[in-house]
Amino acid sequence: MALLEEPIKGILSLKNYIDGEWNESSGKILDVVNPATMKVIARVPISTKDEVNTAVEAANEAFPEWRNTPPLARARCLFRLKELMEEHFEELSRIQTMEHGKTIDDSRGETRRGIENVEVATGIPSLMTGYNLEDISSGIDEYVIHQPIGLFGIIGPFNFPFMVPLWFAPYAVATGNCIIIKPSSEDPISQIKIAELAEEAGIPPGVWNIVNGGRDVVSGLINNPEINGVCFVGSTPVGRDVVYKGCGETGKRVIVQGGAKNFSLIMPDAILEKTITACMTSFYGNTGQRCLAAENLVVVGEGLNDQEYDSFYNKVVDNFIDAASKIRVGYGLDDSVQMGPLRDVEKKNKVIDFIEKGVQEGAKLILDGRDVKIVTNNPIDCFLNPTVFEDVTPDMTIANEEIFGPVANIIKARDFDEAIKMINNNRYGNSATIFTSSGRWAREFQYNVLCGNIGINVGIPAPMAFFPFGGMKDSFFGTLHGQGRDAIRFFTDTKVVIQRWF
Amino acid sequence: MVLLTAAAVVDFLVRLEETSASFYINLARVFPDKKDIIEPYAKENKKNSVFVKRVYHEVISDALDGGFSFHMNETDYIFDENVENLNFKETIDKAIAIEKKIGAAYANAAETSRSLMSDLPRLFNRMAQKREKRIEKLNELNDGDV
Repeated sequence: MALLEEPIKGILSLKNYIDGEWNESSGKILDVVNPATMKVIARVPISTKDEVNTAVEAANEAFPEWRNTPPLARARCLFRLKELMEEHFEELSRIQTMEHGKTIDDSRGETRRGIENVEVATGIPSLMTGYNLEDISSGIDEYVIHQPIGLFGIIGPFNFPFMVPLWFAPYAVATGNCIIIKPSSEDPISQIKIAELAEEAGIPPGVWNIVNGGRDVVSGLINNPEINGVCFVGSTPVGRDVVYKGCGETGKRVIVQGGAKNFSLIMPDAILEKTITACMTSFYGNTGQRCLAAENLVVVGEGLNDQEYDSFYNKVVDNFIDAASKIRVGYGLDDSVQMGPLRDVEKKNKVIDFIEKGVQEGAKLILDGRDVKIVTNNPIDCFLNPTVFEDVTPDMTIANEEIFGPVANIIKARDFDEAIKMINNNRYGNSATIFTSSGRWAREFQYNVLCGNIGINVGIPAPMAFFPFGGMKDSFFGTLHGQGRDAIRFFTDTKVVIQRWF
Repeated sequence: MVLLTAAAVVDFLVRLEETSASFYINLARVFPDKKDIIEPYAKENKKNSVFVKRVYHEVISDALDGGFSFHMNETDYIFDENVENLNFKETIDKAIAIEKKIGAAYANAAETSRSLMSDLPRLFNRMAQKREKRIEKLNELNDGDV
C-alpha cells in the first residue's frame, strides 16, 4: 500500500507558547525523531526554569480576566477549538503517527478521543452549576458555587502525545483556570499544533501556554507556589515524587496516573474468535505502549477437568499465536499496518531486556518478536514484532513489572479465584479485563478486582470523555480523576454561601 | 491484498465510490440523452464517500479493535469501469455488475465490523442496501421502463 502523505516536511523548529506569543527558548535543543523512518522531523527546546516562571507570570496575569469571562463565552472558545480540530483531524492524526510511530487507525482514534474531551468541556455552563436550598432556617438560604482556582500545570506522557493533556486542559480552561502544558519532549508536535488552534480559536493570551522541556520544567511547575495544581501522567516512580515530594510540600492539588500491569482473563465460556481480536488490540495496539494495554493473559480453567482445561488452554494459545504472528508491522502511515515501532531505540532495548529476563527466568518464548520483519521499507531500529511467552508464573519479573511493549505473557489459573488473587496481588491497579459469556463471572470480576478501569469483553477499557479515567494502587495517586465531572471538581473550589437579608 | 484495518477498508470503499462515480460520469458523456438519469448516481457516490469518511472519523477509537477486525480481499471487489465501445445495454449490465461488487464489499465490511463501532457497520449495511435499490433501478433501465 502507498504511504499517506506526511504532513511534516523538513524539520520544524518548535517554540514555547507563552502569553499568546511564540518564543524561542534559551535552553538546549533536542531532535524529535520519527521512529519509523529515523529521520529528524523537529527540534524541541529544553526550556529553563526562568521560562517556566515567565509562563506562570503570564498565566497569573491572564487569570482574573479569564475567570470573569462568562462560562458561555469560554465554552464558545472551546466550540471553535473543537471545530478547528475537526478541520485539521487528518493532519493532527498523521502528525501523531510521525512523532510517535503509532498506526494511522490508532492516531485517528486518539484524535477522536481528544476532541471528545473538548466537546464535553463545552458543556461547562451546565456542568459547573452549583446547588441551593431555600430556608435552611427561617428566611435563610444556602447555596454552593464552584469557582476556578487559578493556575494548573499539565505534564504529558510520550505514549498519547495528543490525547492525554486533553484529559485535563479543556476542563481547566472551561472552568476559568489558566494552564501551562509541558508536552513530552519526545513527541511534542501535536501539542504545539493544538496551541496554534487554541490561539486561532480566540483563547486569550496567557490562558493556554506551552513550555517545552524536561525535568527542569516539571520541577519548575511543581515547585512554583503560584501553581495551584498539577496533572501528571507518566511512570509511577516519577509520579510518586510529583505527589509526595513536589505537590505534597507545596500543597497542590494533584492527579497522577502512573504505571500499570494489566491482566486479561479468558474464561472457558468466552467467545474465542472475538476475544482474540480484542486481545490483539489490547496487547499489541499502540505497540503495547499504553497504560491500559494488557500484558498478562490468564487462561482460566474454572469448572473444567484437567483434560478439558488442557484442550481449552491449547486452543487459546494456538489462536493467540496465529493472530499475533500475522500482525502487519511497519510505518503507521501505511494504512494496512497494524502495529508500528516503539517510540525510540532505548525503549525497544528495554523491552528486549524484559524478553531476555523472561527466558532466563524459565518462561517459554513461543513467538520471538526480536526477529524483526516489517512490511514497509524503513530502518528497523525501533521495531519489534509481537512476542508471546507461555509457562509464565506470577512470581516472574515479566509478569510483575510493566514492560510497555508488544509482549504477551500467558499464565495458567486453575480457577477464577486464583486469577483474581494474581490481579490483586500485583502492585498496580490500572485496568483488568475479563472475557466471558457469564453475567455471574463478569459481576464477580468487577466486584472483586482492585483496578480502576474494568473491561468486560472489551480489551481496552478506556473511559469515554464524560467518565473519569480510573486507577488504583500504584497506578493512581490523588482523589479526583481526569475527564468528565471529576475533572470539573478537580479544577474548581467549592464555596458555600449562607444568606440572610434583614 | 487483504485489507485488515479500518483505515485500509474505509480508504478502499471510498476509492470504490470514486471509481464508480467516474464510471457514471463517463456513461453520461457517452450517452448524453440518458444524462439526467445517470448523473445523479455519480453525485450520490460522492455523498456516500463523504458519509463513510465522516462516520469512520467520528467513531474510530484507539480503544476499539479497528486495527484487527477486518478481513477483506481487495481483488474480490475490483472492477473495470471502461465504457468505450459498449452499447447502452452492455454499459448498464456493467453498471449492475459494478454495483453488485460494491454492495458485496459493503456487506463484507458490515459483517466483519459488527462487534466494533456500531455506527460503522450500520452505515455499511445502509450502503449495501442502497446498492440493491440501485440495481433494481438499473434493471428497469435495461428493461426500457425508464
